[in-house]
Amino acid sequence: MRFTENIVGLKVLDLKNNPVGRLSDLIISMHGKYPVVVAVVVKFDRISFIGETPLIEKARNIKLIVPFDQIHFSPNAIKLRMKEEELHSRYMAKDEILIGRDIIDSVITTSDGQSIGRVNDVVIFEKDNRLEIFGLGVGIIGIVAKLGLEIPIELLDKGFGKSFVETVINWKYVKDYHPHKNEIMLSVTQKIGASDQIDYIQSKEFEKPSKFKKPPFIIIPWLFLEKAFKKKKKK
Amino acid sequence: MRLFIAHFSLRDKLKKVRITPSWFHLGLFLVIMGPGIITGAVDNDIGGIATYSSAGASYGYKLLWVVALAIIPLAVIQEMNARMGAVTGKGLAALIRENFGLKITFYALIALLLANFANIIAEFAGIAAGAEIFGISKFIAVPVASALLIFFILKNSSHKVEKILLIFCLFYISYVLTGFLAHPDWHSALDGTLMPSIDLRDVGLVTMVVTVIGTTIAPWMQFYQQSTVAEKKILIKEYRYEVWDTYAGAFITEFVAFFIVLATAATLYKNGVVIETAADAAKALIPLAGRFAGSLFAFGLVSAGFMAAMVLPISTAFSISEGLGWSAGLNKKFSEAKQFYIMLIALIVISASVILLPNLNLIKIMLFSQTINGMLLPVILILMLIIINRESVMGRHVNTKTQNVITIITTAGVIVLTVSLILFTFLGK
Repeated sequence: MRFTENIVGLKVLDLKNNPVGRLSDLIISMHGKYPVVVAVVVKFDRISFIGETPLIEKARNIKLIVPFDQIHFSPNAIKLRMKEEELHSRYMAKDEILIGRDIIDSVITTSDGQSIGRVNDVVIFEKDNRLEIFGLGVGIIGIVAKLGLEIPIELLDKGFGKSFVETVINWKYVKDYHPHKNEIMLSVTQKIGASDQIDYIQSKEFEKPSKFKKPPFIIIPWLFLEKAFKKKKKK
Repeated sequence: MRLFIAHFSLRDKLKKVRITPSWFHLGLFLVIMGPGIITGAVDNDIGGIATYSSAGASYGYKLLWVVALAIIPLAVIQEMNARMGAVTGKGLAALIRENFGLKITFYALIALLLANFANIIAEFAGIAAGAEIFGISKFIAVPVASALLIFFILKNSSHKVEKILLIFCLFYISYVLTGFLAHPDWHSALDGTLMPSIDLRDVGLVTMVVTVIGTTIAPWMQFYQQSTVAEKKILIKEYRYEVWDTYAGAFITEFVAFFIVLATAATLYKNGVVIETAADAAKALIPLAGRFAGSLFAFGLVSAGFMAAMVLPISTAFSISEGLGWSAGLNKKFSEAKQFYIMLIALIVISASVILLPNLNLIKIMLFSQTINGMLLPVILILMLIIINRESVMGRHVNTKTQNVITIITTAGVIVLTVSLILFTFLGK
C-alpha cells in the first residue's frame, strides 16, 4: 500500500539502469471496481526518439505517456522494459484521468451534497503486477505528511506509543467523478468509519528509514507521566 | 439557494411587468448587489479609519488626492476577483488549492488566519473604544457585541446576513455628516483633491501615502468578495451587475475615507492634535467639532467595528473550510458545516476575550496584522493573476491583453507599495 505522493517524482531508469527522467503522474482507467494504472507520465531529461521516429536533436524535459506494461515498477525506481526507440508513447483516452492533476486536491462530497474534505493523496496497491487504486486519503495526518512534516507524526507516534492513522476512503464508495468541478461524489451519506482507515506507517513501508533516531525530549516527560499515572491507578 | 430562486423569480416578474429596460437593470442590480458594496464598506474598518484619521490629522487636506486615486487599484483588483467567483462558482481558497496544491494553500491560509485574527481583535477594540465614549464599559459592550454577532450568524442565512450588513453600510453616513459638521475649508479640500502634490524628501508624508493605498487593498477582501459572489450563485450572464456592485463598493470605500480625512483635517490638523488610533480621533473631535460630531464619529467606529467583526470571521472560516474541502457557508445548518461554525464562533469569542485582557498593546497587534497582510497580499495577487489567465479555469473570461496590462501594472504598484509599507514600518521612518 503506497501513497501516490511517494511514487510521483521517482527516478526512471533505462535498461542499463541509467537515470533518464522522473515519474510525473499516473494515468488510471475509470473502469472496474478499483481503477487500474494503465500508463505513467514520464518527464524525460532528454530523449532521441518519439516512438520509432528519430528526432533531429535530443528533446529535453519532454513529458511522454508510457504504457504501464512497458515499465517495471519497483519501490524506489521505475525501470523501462525496453529501449528508448522501442517505447510506444501514447495519448490519453477519454475515460482516463491523471491522479495528480485531476484527483488530488478535488473535493469529496457525500451523496447528499456535503463536502467532507479534499483528496490529500491517493493510496494505491500492487496486485498481480499491476497497480490499483485503494482509496483517497482525506485526513489531517495526510495533510501533515504532505506538508513535509513527518517528524511531528513520528514524535507523536513514539510519544504516545501508538500509530496515528490517516483516514482513507475506500474507492468502493466512489460513485462519480466530475472533472470540470474537481469533485468526487460518494455513494454514502456519512463519513466513512474506522474500518477504512489505514496505518500511516504501513503506507510508508517502502520509504527510506527516518533520519530521526534518538528518542525525542518530549517522550521522557510523557513516559514519566504515563508511569506515574499507572502507579496511581494500581494504588 | 433561496436567493438563487429569488433573483430568477424576480427576473421573470420583471419581464412580465413590461417595465422599461433601465428599471429592469436597476431591479436586477438591487438583487445582485452586496458582495462588492459590503467588501468596500468593511474595508473602512477600525484600522482603515485610524489610517485615514491619522492622514487628515497629520497632513490636512494634502492627501485627499491619494484617497481619490486609490479607487482605481481597488476597483481593478476587486473586479478581477468578482469575475473569478462568477465564472468558477468557487471561492479563492478553493481555486488556489485546485491550481497550486496543498502547500501554498496551507501557508496562505495560516497567514490569512493570523492576520484576520489580529484584525478581529482590532475591530473589538474599536467597538470597546467607541462604546466607552458613550459611557458604556467595554466589559459590557464587547460581550454584548460578540453575543449579538454569534446570534446574527447562527440564526440567519447568508441572504439575511447580507441584508443586515447592507443596513450597516448605511451607518457609514455618520462619517459624511461628521465631515460636514467639522466645517472644512472646501476650497483647500478641492485643491488637495484635484492638485496632487508630494514632497519626496518628506519621508513621513511618503510613508503616509503608502499607508493609505496599502490599507485600501487587503488579502481578506479577495477571499471574502469571491466567496460571497460564489455563495450567492451570481452567474456570468449577470456579471455586469456585479461589476456595478464592485465599482460602487470601491467608490463608497474612498468616499467615506475622503470625509474621514476631511473631518480630521478640518479639526485635528488645524489644532495640531496628534492621534494614534481611531478612538483618539473620536475623543479629540468632541471639543473641536462639538459633542454631536464626536458622537457621530464614535458611532461610526462602533458600527464599522461590528460590521468587520462579523465579516472577517465569516471570511476566514469560509476560506479555511473551502481550502480543506469542508462544508461551509451560512446557508448550511450547524450540523452540516460544524468545522465552519466552530471556527467562526471561536474567532469571535477568542478575539472578544483578548480585548478584555488588561494592558493589551493594540498598536503592536495592528502592526502584526499589517505586516502579515503585507507579506500575504503580493502572493495572493500573483496567484490571482495566474488563475485569471488560465483558460482551463476561466474559459473565455480570461483577462484580455488590455486587462492584463492594467491588472499587472496595478498589482505591481500595490505590491511595491505594500512591501515599502513593511520596510518603512520596520525602519521606523
